[in-house]
Amino acid sequence: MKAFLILCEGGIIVTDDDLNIVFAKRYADEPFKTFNRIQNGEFTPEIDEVLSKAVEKGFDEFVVMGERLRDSLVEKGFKAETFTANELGRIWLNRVELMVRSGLASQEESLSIIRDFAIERSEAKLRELSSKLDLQLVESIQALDEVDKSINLLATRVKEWYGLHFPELASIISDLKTYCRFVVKYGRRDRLNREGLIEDDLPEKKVNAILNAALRSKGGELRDEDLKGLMKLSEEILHLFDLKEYLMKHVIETIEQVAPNVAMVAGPTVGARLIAKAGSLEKLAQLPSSTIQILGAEKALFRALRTKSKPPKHGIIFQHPAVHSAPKWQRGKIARSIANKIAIAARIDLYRGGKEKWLEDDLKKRLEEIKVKYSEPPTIDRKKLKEVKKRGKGS
Amino acid sequence: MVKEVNRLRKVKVDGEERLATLNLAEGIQVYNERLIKLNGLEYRVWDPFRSKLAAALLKGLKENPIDEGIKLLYLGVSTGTTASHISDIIGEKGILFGVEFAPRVAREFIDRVVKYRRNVIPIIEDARRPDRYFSIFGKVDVVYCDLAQPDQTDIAILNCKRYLKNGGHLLLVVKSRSIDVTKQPKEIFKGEAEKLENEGFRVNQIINLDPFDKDHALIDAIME
Repeated sequence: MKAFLILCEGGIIVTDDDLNIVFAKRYADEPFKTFNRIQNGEFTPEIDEVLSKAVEKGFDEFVVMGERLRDSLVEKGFKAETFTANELGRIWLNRVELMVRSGLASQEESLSIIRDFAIERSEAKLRELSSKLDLQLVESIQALDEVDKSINLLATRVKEWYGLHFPELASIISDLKTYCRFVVKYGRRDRLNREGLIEDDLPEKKVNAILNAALRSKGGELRDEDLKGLMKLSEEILHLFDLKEYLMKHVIETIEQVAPNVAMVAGPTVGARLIAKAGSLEKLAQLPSSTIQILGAEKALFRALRTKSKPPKHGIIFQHPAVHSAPKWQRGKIARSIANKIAIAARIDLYRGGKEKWLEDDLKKRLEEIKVKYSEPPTIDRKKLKEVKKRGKGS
Repeated sequence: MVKEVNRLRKVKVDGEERLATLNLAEGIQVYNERLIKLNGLEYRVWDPFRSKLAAALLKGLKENPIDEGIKLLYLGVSTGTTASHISDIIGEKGILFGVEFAPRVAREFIDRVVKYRRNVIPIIEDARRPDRYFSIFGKVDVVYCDLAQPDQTDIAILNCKRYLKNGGHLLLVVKSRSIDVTKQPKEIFKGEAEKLENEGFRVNQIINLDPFDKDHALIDAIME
């Protein structure tokens, strides 16, 4: 005789193949955990009891939910199969009625059992979803970009502020980190000395320029209190530079684990930004390469769609050195071939893993080809250009 | 049936007429909305700028299928702003299944809405895969769909065929810009309504949600 073993939130319901209730067994405690263990093919006291009782009643064949449970039953010597999708769908939707009919729980109890179970299941699912490594990558690259923005913002302030005292310095030292280090080290311009500047690895020419400028500076005096604030701010900026370096290393390490092929083809930071923009590695792998090519240029794309003017050639991919260092007329082609390879790389990273060197080799070959084939700027058809421009502005 | 209290009503707040729902989780706010007492009952003021259903009600939804005791499947429940008001309206005898896939907002939905409301059941799944909704049971009276996906109408239809009772309502929020930015919103609303009609729905009403939400409409359709 055939029995249905219906594993639901409230317990195990045993019916014959006409869905007439034979008996039911509640889970002892922790329904969610017990349910999962049974469905994964583990023999808990509940399922053991159900099986021996069913055998006593003359059942020798079982229809169950889930292949793993079926396999463990078969291993134990039972005849077992799984429900068809249709059967299961129908039974599952009516399980509240089954729970009530089998005496497992009242209508009201069933609802609260299902709800508590759903909350636990959702929370477990959320934990699983948010422990994915690519989400860590998304957060860390965004943190890196935000730290970078903060550095620019704050260091520009230091330049303005210190500029009151020593305005000539900004045009000599343009690098923000060097500038901040200078402020921390010397404070007032009259504390400058040649030995110190040479120690800082500044070239001879710059050292002279700084010393000269300091002698003739048109800047005003600094009070001690102001200098103190300024130096504290500069110190914090230097800490942010350390943080940036640390995060950069972290991003590179993480993307090497999560998506080594994307990292290889796009470069680690561009790769990480693409994954962040798409939302996750899975989402990036599902995008067509034409979308990857202009990811990050949505504003330009939608403007182009609205006005029927030319669409953008690149978004985040522009940051790839092969794109931004190339002459303008080659960039679209280069961006397209890189995007093609990134699309393939993301899919390999998501579904198969392992590093595929040929991706990089193919890409290099193609980039070489573009450089040779399109070495000269295209001749521009003036008349056509005018037309395109007109269309872009109109409508 | 004589209803004892109005679960959904208009109230005057600071001289302005506003929608409000009877708070099922007394004393608890979901999104910093105003709580007001009326004849000893606590109501939550419903902001039409934050909830498209409220906007549709104010713009004249003729036949509101959301009533006390009904069962509803909500696709794209997000953080649960609208869902909390629906939970108020359907009351303790109703059930709302809230489907959301994005972990960030789903977490907020569970912490802010599900935990305080016995009539809400969370489902963390992709609305494209209704066969994977584990916690749902029975068929529902209403499917409310607010997904902002280009293929959202197809997704809604897929869900209705599986879980909506015959004669049940589909409330479909259409964001024209997530379907095609180049077309006129009006054309898109018409196109989506036609899609529904081809699949055996009868379109009751198309409500433009302007000025509460630009380029949005709510389509009320019945599956026959």
